[in-house]
Amino acid sequence: MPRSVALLLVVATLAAGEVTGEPLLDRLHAASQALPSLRVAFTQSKLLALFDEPVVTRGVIEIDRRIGALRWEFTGHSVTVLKDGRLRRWGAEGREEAAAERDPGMPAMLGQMRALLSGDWRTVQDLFTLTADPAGASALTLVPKDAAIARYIARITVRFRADLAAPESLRLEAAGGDATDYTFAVPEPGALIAATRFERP
Amino acid sequence: MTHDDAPPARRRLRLLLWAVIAIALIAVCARARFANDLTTLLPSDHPVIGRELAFFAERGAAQVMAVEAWPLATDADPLNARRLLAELAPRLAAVGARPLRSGDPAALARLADVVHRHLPTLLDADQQQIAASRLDGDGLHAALAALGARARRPDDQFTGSAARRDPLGLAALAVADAIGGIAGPGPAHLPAAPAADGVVVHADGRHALLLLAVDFPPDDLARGRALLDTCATAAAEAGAAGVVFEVIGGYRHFRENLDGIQSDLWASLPVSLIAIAVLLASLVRSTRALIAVHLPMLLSLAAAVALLVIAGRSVPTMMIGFAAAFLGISVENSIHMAMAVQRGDQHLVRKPLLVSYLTTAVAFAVLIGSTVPALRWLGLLVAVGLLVALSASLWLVPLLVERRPQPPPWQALSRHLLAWAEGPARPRWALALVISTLTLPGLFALPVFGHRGLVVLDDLRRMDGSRPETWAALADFQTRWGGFEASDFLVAADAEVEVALARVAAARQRLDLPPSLVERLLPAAPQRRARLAGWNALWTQRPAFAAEFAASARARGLRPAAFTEALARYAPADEASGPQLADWKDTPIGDVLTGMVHRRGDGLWQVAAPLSGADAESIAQRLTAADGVWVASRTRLARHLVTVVREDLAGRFLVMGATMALLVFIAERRLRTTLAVLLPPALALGWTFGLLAWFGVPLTPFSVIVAAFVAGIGLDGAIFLADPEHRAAALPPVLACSATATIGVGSLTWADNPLLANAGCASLIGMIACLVAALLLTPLIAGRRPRPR
Repeated sequence: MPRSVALLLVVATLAAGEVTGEPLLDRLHAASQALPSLRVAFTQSKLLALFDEPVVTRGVIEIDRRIGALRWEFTGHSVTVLKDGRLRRWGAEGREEAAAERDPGMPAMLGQMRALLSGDWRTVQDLFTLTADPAGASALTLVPKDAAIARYIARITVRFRADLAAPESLRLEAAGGDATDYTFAVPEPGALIAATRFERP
Repeated sequence: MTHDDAPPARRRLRLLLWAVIAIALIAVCARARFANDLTTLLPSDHPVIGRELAFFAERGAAQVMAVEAWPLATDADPLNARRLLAELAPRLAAVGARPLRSGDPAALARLADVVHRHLPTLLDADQQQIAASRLDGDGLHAALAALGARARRPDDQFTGSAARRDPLGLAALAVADAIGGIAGPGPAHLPAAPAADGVVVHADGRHALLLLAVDFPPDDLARGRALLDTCATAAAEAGAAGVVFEVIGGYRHFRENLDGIQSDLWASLPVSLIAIAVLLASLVRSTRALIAVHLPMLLSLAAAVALLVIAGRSVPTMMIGFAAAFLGISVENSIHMAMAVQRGDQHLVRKPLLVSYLTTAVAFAVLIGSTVPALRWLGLLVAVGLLVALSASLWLVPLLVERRPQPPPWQALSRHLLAWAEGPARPRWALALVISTLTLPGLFALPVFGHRGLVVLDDLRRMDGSRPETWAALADFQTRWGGFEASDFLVAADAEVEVALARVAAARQRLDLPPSLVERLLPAAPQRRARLAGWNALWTQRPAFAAEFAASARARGLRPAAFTEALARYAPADEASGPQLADWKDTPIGDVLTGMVHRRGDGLWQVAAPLSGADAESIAQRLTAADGVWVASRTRLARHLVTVVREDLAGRFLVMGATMALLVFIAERRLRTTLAVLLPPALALGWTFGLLAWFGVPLTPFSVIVAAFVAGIGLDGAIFLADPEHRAAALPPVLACSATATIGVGSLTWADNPLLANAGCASLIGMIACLVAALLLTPLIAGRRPRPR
């Protein structure tokens, strides 16, 4: 059964195509280039119709752009590292998951990680229409172009901090009312991150 | 001065005429389109071969390749092998091989949509049995517990919404094989959509596979070389990291065959050419004559190519290669003429030259009536080429070769041989009898030594020159994965796709064969009805399913209300329309299905369902006309081709032999001389193939061609040696021709390529046998030279 679900997870690949709000994308990219390293804690809240209560998890994202590495940790659950284009994932027990690279859902995670690492949201692929906030807020909305994908993902909204150094929140709305909210803490720009953080959990 | 009785002005005019002919031939040849495609030379009007040729021509060459990886140490972490394999993908993309990915999320979402819509008619009986295990009791509890655990994972973003449509994962049962290899051996056909990075992991957890679609066919040598070089470099790097990379597929076999042939030729050709040049130079003792004796062969080859150009056909390189081998016989005849000119008695060789050329030309002319286009064209090319060569030998060579009154060449050897050949009859009869007794029984199956006689090889794979380790790797791969590209298919065609699908499904059912992707995803009406009945039974047998589901979900912290859409689907259905081909379009399976089910050029729908792991030949034999289905198989096609060529040649060889005998008899007008010409080469062929049979060397289509070549040279030698008056002068050129042919082709006996080695071995033994037979028997039967008084 998890396999069957996994088959459908691939729909989650983030993508961008027709973009309005080019200046925001440029500013986001420029802001990211000014920050060689970054650490930002977050809280994830999954509001799923499957469950009565939200599933809340804390974690931290660490980025070192000088070595092209990003670590995404769900504290107590899993660690995923993107380094030199290679993706690795360790489970709660610290054991590397062979299945990670075969997980059809991984492209979704990978898309987000690549965008965060490079600061270039244009790099996400071409299945979504990417729109900047019409009111001028530092926010991007991704809406699937393909009706088949829209049956799983309604929209993704990313709000950035005023200084564009990091996202402030990310909301993924699924069809049927499910949603996953990320709330990001104040980032630590220029954080000293040991290289070993990108080698193992 | 050149030897020609005509005045110098007339000689110059004749030379000018030959120059014009040569220029005209070259000009026509310049327009030739050389091609490697042999399909136009195959008997496409044969009912089975024609149908299968058309089938495979339409499918095109299989442009797929696989790279398998595993850790060298059995206890090593297999993850490294998978990662290295995934990292290989972009490097291979740069040289034209792209991983077959499932990476397009929209395509997968569309796939899920199709499966969800048609679930009742997509699950077959086995899959319904698996589904049933998830519908109640522990199976249901385990499925929902796993769903809950997965949805709670923070790094899982979409399980919640996806699972609401199909919490028990029934859709995945229907397409698990099609999306292939996520957790087990893939199907024997190409998996439509492996994991997202293109890497398929075997159920043993150790072996991983990268499936690649290649932009070019295996015979694109330059690009194939770059692709395999990249793989070899990566394999060396992986080896340093303790990981084995193994390339599987036609690209590797193609390259190894060509490299092997090239290496074999380079190993033997330069030395052979030097040896032949030295041998001929010592015979004709003139550079000018040495060049002149090759001109008839070159002109005949040009004439053969020109014939194809004038006929508006492309020039198949392999066919020209065969023709060139036969036309090489003209060098032998030219040598006789050149030496006769040097001696000043060319009038003595005109008749044997004429008989020699005409017997070979007439023999090949018999092939013009063959049902196999390749043989038909070979016959025409060689017959026309030999007539041109005859003209050149008779009229061009004398214009170019100088008269050189000098002692005959190779006297030390030829004098002794001739004395022996014309010596007492009894020992020579006895020797011939001994050789025949020892060799000829080899042609037949014998109750001793388990000897099978002369076996005809119809498995063309045994002529493949791939390295042993490549075959071993392929065998291991097939054991592990069951193959990744189909070469055998169950095929039906009809104006209605539904009818064609139904025929294939019914035949497969009748023959008790496992269903292929086609039957699974495009069920015909009877299958749809059966599946729908099974699906409905799942729910009618469990009237309390919804309540049990709700209770189990609640017990595992899941809200039953979230599954309203799924529960509406998990119920009996009314209609059994089933998915159509168009429904699968733009899904990861779409391209594969379109390759198996498509409308042909004649408007009929053709269904070609892969036969995985089944013996195509036995299936073909079990099919009846009532099935309306046939088997397309590359191996079977090859066997049919060999059989058709063999049967065609078997009948024609008799006609060829009879025609040649008649021609020799007309020319000689003496039965004894005719026998002296025909018996030695015929016996030599028997000795050759008897000996080969004793050695266990099978008869291949190429050794049949070698036999014709050997017989041609043997016959020519016998023709020249049959004339007692001319025998002494003819012996050195006969020896030279046998020696050059033996050196040239026989040196391939030690080639690594089985095809070359087979042909080389047959020609080596054949040439020696022909010479021995001619020396033993021709003077014996034809009579001795008159003794000088």
